[in-house]
This record gives sequence, C-alpha cells and structure tokens, in this order.
Amino acid sequence: MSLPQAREPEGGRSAPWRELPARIWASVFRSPIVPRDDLGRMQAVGANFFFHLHASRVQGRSLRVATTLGLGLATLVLFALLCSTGIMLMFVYVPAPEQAFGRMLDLRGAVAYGPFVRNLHRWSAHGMVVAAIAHMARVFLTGSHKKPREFNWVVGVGLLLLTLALSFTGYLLPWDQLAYWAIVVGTSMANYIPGIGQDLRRALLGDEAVGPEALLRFYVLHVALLPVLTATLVGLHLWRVRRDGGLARPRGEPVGADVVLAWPHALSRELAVALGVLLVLGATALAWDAPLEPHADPNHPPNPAKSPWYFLGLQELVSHSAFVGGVAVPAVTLLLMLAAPYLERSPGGEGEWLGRKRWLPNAIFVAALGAFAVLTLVGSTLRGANWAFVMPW
Amino acid sequence: MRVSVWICVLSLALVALAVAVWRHTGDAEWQGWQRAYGCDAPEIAQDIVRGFGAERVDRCRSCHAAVEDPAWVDGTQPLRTHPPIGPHPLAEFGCTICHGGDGRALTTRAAHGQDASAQEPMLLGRLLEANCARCHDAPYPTGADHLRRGRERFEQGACAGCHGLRGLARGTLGPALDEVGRRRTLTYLRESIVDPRANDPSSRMPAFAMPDPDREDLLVFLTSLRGPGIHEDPVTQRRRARAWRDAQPAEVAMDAASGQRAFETGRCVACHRLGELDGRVAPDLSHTALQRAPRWIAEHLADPRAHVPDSAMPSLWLSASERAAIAIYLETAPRAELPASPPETYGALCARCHGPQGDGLGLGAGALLPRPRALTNARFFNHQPEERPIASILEGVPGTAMPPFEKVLGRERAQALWTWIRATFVREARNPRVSRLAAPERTAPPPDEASIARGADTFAVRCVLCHGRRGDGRGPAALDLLPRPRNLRNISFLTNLSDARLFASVSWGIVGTGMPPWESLPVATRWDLVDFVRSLSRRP
Amino acid sequence: MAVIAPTRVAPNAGRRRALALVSTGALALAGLIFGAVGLRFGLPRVSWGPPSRVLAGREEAIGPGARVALGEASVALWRVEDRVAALGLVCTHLGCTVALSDDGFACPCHGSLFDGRGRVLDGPAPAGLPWLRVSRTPAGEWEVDTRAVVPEDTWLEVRS
Repeated sequence: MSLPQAREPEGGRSAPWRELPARIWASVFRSPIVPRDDLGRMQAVGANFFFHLHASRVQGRSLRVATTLGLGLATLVLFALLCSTGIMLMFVYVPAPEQAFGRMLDLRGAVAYGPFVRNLHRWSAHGMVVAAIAHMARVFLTGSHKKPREFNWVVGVGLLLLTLALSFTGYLLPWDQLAYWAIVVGTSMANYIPGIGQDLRRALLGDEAVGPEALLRFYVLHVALLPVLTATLVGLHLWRVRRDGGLARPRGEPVGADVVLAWPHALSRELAVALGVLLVLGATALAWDAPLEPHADPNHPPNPAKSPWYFLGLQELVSHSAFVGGVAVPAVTLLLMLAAPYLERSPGGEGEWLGRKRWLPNAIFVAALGAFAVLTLVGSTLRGANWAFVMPW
Repeated sequence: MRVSVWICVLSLALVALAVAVWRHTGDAEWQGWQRAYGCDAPEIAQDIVRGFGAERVDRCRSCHAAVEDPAWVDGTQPLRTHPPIGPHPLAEFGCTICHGGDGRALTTRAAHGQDASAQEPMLLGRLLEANCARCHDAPYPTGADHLRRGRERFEQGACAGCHGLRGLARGTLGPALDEVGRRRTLTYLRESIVDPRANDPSSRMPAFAMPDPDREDLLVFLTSLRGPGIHEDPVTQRRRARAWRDAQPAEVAMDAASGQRAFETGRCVACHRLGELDGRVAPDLSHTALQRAPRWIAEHLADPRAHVPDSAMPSLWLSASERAAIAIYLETAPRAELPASPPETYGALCARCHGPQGDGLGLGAGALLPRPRALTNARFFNHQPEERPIASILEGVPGTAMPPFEKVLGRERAQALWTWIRATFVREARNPRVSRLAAPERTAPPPDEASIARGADTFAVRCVLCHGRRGDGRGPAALDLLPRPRNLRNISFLTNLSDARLFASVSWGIVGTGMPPWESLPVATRWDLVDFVRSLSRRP
Repeated sequence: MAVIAPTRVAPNAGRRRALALVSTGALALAGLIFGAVGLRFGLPRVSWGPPSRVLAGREEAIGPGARVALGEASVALWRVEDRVAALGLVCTHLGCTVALSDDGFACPCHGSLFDGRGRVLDGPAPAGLPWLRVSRTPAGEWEVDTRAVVPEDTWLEVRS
C-alpha cells in the first residue's frame, strides 16, 4: 500500500496542515478498514494486531454449526466478558473480611448498575464452566484430540482446571455464608491428598482456617495470577489450532478443497456467536439476581454446607468415602483426561461426531460425564440437612 | 447471507437489551420518593455512624426523606416525620442502630431485612425497644416500657432457675439465653414459650401459661439479648463476667424469716404452690412439713435429681444455710384445713397431679417424670395387690414426685380416699377369676459378674427399645408410650422393690402399661435380667 | 498453491450492504449505551468523607457579630445582626484549611491572607474564599451546603 502523496497546491508553497488528517489516518491504518478485494480481506486478518492469531483462510466445514457448535468461541467470549465485568467490580470490591460484605451490599444499592454487573459476572462464571465442559465434550466426541492434536488437548485440560480454579477463588470473595462455607468444605477436601494435602491446603489458605489471609490470597489468584495464566494458555491453545492445521477433519478429505476467506465468512459467524452469548447472558443478568446470604459467620455453619456446584459430585463421593471422593476419583479422572489422546493409538474417527471406530472411548466419556452429572444432581437436589436424603420438593 | 441476517437481528436485539439495562437502574424507588417529597435532584442520603461499635452506613433517608421535617407528621410512610426521639439525633445515631435492617440497601425489601442476605430483621413497634438494650442497661429509660416489663416478667418467672443469663440467671438445665435474641427468630421464641416441645420434642420446659401481653413483653426482652452491649467496653465485660462467675451465694441465719426471703428471691412459686400463690406447674408445697424431713428438703434443693432422677426442677443457686432456712420456712408455713370428704380431699391434694378427672393429666403432670399414675387405668390397678395403692398414698413412692400422706391424712382417711378413688375413677371391679401369680423364690444361683453380663446381653437385645441403651427409660419408643418406660437407674425407686417383684414384672409384664410379659425367655435368663437391672441401681 | 477465489460481485449486494449498515449502526449504538452504563457505574454516588450539607447549630447559638469556624467541615458561619452567611475555609491556593484571624482568615500553609469577606489580601491564593449557601432546616438549625457556591454578599435573614 502506498502512502497518499502530498498534493502540490497550484501556484505556490505546499500547505502541510491540509494533509495532516490524511497523514495521521494513513499512519494508523495501513490498509482500508473495509477491504475491497480478497488480498485486502486476507490482510485484514493476517496483518491486523487483534486478528493475526486467526487464520486468514479457513475450511468451509469449520464454519458449519454442527462441526463445533461454537462452544470454544462461547467459552472465550465468556472469558472476555468475565474479565471486563471483573475489572469493573474491582473498582468497588475490597478483599478484607471487615469490608468485603459491606462492599457487596454497596454494589447492590449505592453503585449505579451494580446488581447488573455483578449478576453478569456471576452467571458468566457459571456459564464459562458449563461451556468449557461442553467444548471438551464436543472435542472428545468428534475425536478432535487425536494425533497430532494431543498437546492442544492437554492445554485444554489445563484451561479447564484454570476455569474451575478461577470460579473457586472467586466464589469466596462475597464473604457471605454461602461463600465462606463452600470454601471451607472445598478446601478441606484437599486434606485427604496423601503427603502434600495438608501443606497444600495451608498454602492455599495462608493459615490453618479460612480467614483474612485466605480472602487476600484468593483475591490475588482470582484477579491477577489465574487470569494471566488463562490468557497465556488461551493464546497457546488458539495458536496450536493453527499449527495443527485447523480443526480436525475426517481422513480422506482432500486438503485445500472448500477453503474460504476468514473475512468475512468466519469472522461474521464468530460475531454472531459472540452476540448470541452476550444476549443470553445479558438477559439472564437482567432477570435473575446472583445470590447473597448473610455475612460469613464461622460459628454457624449452614446445614447442609455445600461446595460450589461443580464440586458437589466430589462432595457426594466424599460423603461415602473421603479418600475415594477427595483423592482417588479426582486423580484418576485427571490422569485419564490428560492421557486420553495418547491412549487412542488407532487412527480414524477424527472430525466425525460419535464415529463408530471410536465407540469405546466415546462410551466411556459419555458414561463419565453422565456419572458427573448424576452425582452433581444428587448432591444439589437430593441432599438436605446433615447430608441426609431429602425429596427436592 | 443468512449470517448477515442473523447478525442484524442479534445486533438489534442487543440494542434492545442495552436500552433495557440502561433503564433498569433499580433507582426508581428511592428517586421516586424523593421527588414526591419535593426534591428535584434526588441523591443518595447517607449517614455514616461511627462510635457505636462497627461502622454503620445508613441510607434510609434516601426514601424516608421527610424524617426530620415537622411538616410531614401526618404523611404516609415512607414520607413521614419521625416521632420525637430526644437525645438521639439522626446525624449521630443513624437509623439501623435502633431499627435494625440493612442500612446500605436502597430497595424496600433489602433495607427492611426481608431478603436472603438480611443480617438482622427490622424491628418496629414495641419490638423496637429490644434494641434500647444495645446501649442502655437496666433500669431502662422511659420509652422502653415493654422492655422493662419483659425483664420484670423474666425476673418474676422461674426462668432464672433453668436458664443462664449473665447478670441475671444461673440456671444450667436449659439453654443459655445470652445471645438468644440474635440466634433465634421471634417466631421460634414465641412458639417455644407457648409450647416448649414445638421445636424440640425432648424439651423438659413446662408450658408456662401467661397472658398474651405479658408474653409479648417477655419476647421484647428476649429479643434484646444479643450478647454484650455496645456500651460495655471489653474491660468492663471481663470484670463483670469474672465477678458473676466467682460470686458465691450468701450464708444467712437459719430461721424462717431468712427462709422466706430466700424462698421469695428464688421465685419458687413461679412453679410451685404455697398458700395463695401458685405457679401451676410443679407440686403443691403447702403440706411439705408433714411429708418431708428438713434434711430431705435441703438435699432436694441442693440436687433435685438425688431423690428424683428425672426431676425437671433446676438446682438453685443457694448456700447451705439458705437451703436449711427454706426447709425451716416450709415447716412453719401455715396450712389450710383439709376438707373432710374424700372428693374434696382429692381435689385439694391429688387433682393437681393426677388430674380432676383422675386421668393423670393434672397441672403438674407435664413436667413430672415419672408421670402421675392415671387412676382411670383399671387394668393396671386390678392386677396389682390391693394394698399397694394404699401403701403408695401413705408412704409415697420413692424416686418419684409422689410424697407420703400418712401424716397429712392418717390411715382411715387415706383408706376412705382410696375407696372413693376406686369407685370414681378406677370403677371396674377386680375379676375374681383372674388369679395373681405369685412371685417365685429365686431358683438361680446368686448374682455374680457372669450373670450380670448375660443379663446385659439380653437387655441389649430385648429391652433397649423402650428402656434405652443406658436403661434410663429413654429408648426410641419411649415417647410413644404412656406411662413412660421405667428409668431403671432410679435408685430410690428400685431399692424399694424386691428381686421377686422385679422377676414378676419381667415374667408377666405390667398389665395396663407397655411392659410386655417375657415368659418366653427361660427362667435363668429372666433372673440374669433381674441381676443386671439391679446392677444399674447399685448405689455408687 | 491454493487458488484464491477471484473477487465476485455477490448477489443481493445491495441488501447485504443494507444489513451491514443496520448491524454496524446497531452495534455502535449498543456499544455506546453499554459504555454509558459503564461510565455511570464508575461515577461515585456516595461520599465516605464528611457530609456535604453540614449542620451548623441552632439559630440561637450564634450571636450577632460572631464568626464560628466548623473545622471538620471547613466552613465558617458569620452572623451580623440580623443576617447570617457562610464562607468556605478551603484555601483557594492548594486546599489547606484556613484559620480565623483577628479580622479575617489566614492560611497556615503558604501564608495567604484573606479579609473578613474572604477577599485575598496577600499571599499566593488566586481567588477569594467562596461564599456558600446557608439555609434553615425544618427543625430550626442552620445548614450549610458546601457544594453550593453563591455570589459574595449573599445573606440569609434571621428570623427574630
């Protein structure tokens, strides 16, 4: 692209100030904002700071809804939403036990649109956990984690853990009864890890019990360390998608057929998914208030005291056997998740939903997911005071 | 193309959402009220209250804008002048220190303490006086009349005997009340006074009858109990707690006058009856002089459970001389003349526990354990030797609340009374064809460790459902049976029974009660059981 | 080497452009509104410092000719016979609280001097002390609004 030439005014000296707007514009935007030809469209993606991680050309099948259900993108959009609402909340919140709850009450009344921003943050957090799990399910059930994408799957598992960690650390911050006791229960499960369990718990809490130290540590983890790690891994995750040759597709499909430009085809669909996610979350945040219970009271555990919903399945298991629920099952699950792509050595089944060749791994995965769902459901609806069975009505 | 349509639709929907979010500020309520008050530029009115414990932030005036404007005396809430509150200017005290609720909230529900995050409820009307106790000690200032009357009700009642409350009550039988206003809701407290077993079926608290206004005042006082008040600095708290803990009851002269003073201070008539005063919950003390020796009375006052293991009477905070003085006072208390006829005698002496209908549901029955016998239980009486009820009247039943009436009535009147009771309440005559089995002589070897251990095994299998694992009558089925299963650790009661009588009860049951016959067990097993039961009531 | 499809004139180009225009406009509008929401979120609505409307005592408490400084709120109340006015005590130089001097005000920080009416006599202060609005509360007390600056020589009549 050439810079606009300075025009020579007729009959006289040049007037540089007239060219200033054009010169400023050209120094910022090296190519037209709305590209007019294919080369322009490719440069709009490839030569753009915000977009250059994105491929400038994608396969047509990647754009079909059924291929990915847009779940990875939804997770990313939710993460961005969480970062922005989170930063807004950081202007109000103070991570000290004497002030935290009061600040939550202020958010509810004295701050304009406080309830909306808080609700958006909370429901996006739950949404991100669900979306991450759904995305993981989609990847597994389409065999998209197999060679050569094994490491990207591992990065994805790391992202799932980071998502859960972010949700868990954020759960404590309101410092109400729900928050305090959920974290007491959640961190006490760490005690059952042999050897390092007790030290791990003390490192997490900064003390023997949940208190001012824990609040500060969880806050720092939640707003600084974990988001930075997540953003880094997200970058790696997206980059690896490109390095691994785009989305997984069935063997035998010729490479290069059905390739379209990312601008506008891929980006427009991504915009649509992002708008959809924003709409759903915004409407949810407008309609339903995030819960707030009375101030945390270490002397009065609620009965029952439940961990956040994504740990309820573990809590249910722990109620039967502490070691099984707190150590064995999580460890085995994590190991299997990390090893899954390496365990499947026979080729075939990539890029197709519930491929026949992969019926066994798919069945195992669906069963595990189902067990997780059932245990979570039991823990949330069928357990009442003293963790005894109650009917949900 | 389709994508473009989607994006267009979604974008427009997003605009709609944005507009909806923009308009849904949640400020409509308080801004509306300020405009109604006449303020064109509504802003959040905030009072920050420091100096009364933790910092408080009260934004109540954002809606209650007319609170200090005398022109709005006749306004409707929330725009209404606050009644005069003397030395409590709003700028210094805020609102929530008296009214409770959540000061930081700007919606009615949240501010009035009605939603899930409420720390304390908002108090209105007479209940508001409960919060006066945050800063004020007894005697309370004018304006806190309900609180004062509630405290007086507490002091005049028997509450101090069973409950603990620093500075006021030393009971240990019931829960400590120091923070009951904070821990329990108003509904819970009211229910628990009207029917103590509403929230705790195993409670031994009697149902004290009191007029509704009295009870509501008492509830104001109970709501005010929230632990140490703001006015007590930590040093004063420590000092007072120490003094309370280390205090000892004073020794007094051992005469009737001191005894009367101790009797009145201890509020005995809040439960018992003596002369004209009647608490309507515990036995009548009018004839105690003729029923119990002074030493018995003093021992009973020191520990009621020494004589009656399941007594609900609290151990009162009395010195040894006070106890002796009370015994002397009871001995010398004037007694009314007893009526002559059996029905009137029954009404004067027996109906209080055994009930005017003889069904065992008298005034005192609810609090007594073992409960007074239902005299209408014909099956029971017709399977007991005829001389036993008369013996019970004359000698009392040790280990229970049934006192001896020999000195009160004399043999003849006691006999006449029983004849009347039999005719009026028991009514059914004995069936002459039913022969009573004689209690056999002991055929088993004398009791030893082995037989007691065998008896314990049998007991654990057969008996714990009613008599409980410890044999104290608190088995899972106990609350479903009337009369209740016997407390087999009742030393006073069991030492009064012979082994033969125990064996008979085990073998053939006690007709008219839930105790079944265990004839199916071998004789030796039954004697082992007897040995085990005996071992439960051995004096330590 | 992949073949890049040549630029085609798409069918429905006009309709597509219209849709794009509407979408862009709608997104921009939504962005503006959400931006405004965010800005209002950030604007403080409550203050944690001293209240801006200060109660300055009952009418009877300040006699004629008296000047009373309320240090915490940085205002001075000035009663002249049957009129009362209020001056702010925040130095217009760099914000220190000025003190009452014999016939005016003096700032301890950099030596600005003001006369009794708040006009600058000496020192680095660029402007005089502000006159603030005094009003009477329904309960009969003076109230000074520290955020309502009124012209010099604005007085409130005292009820006899």
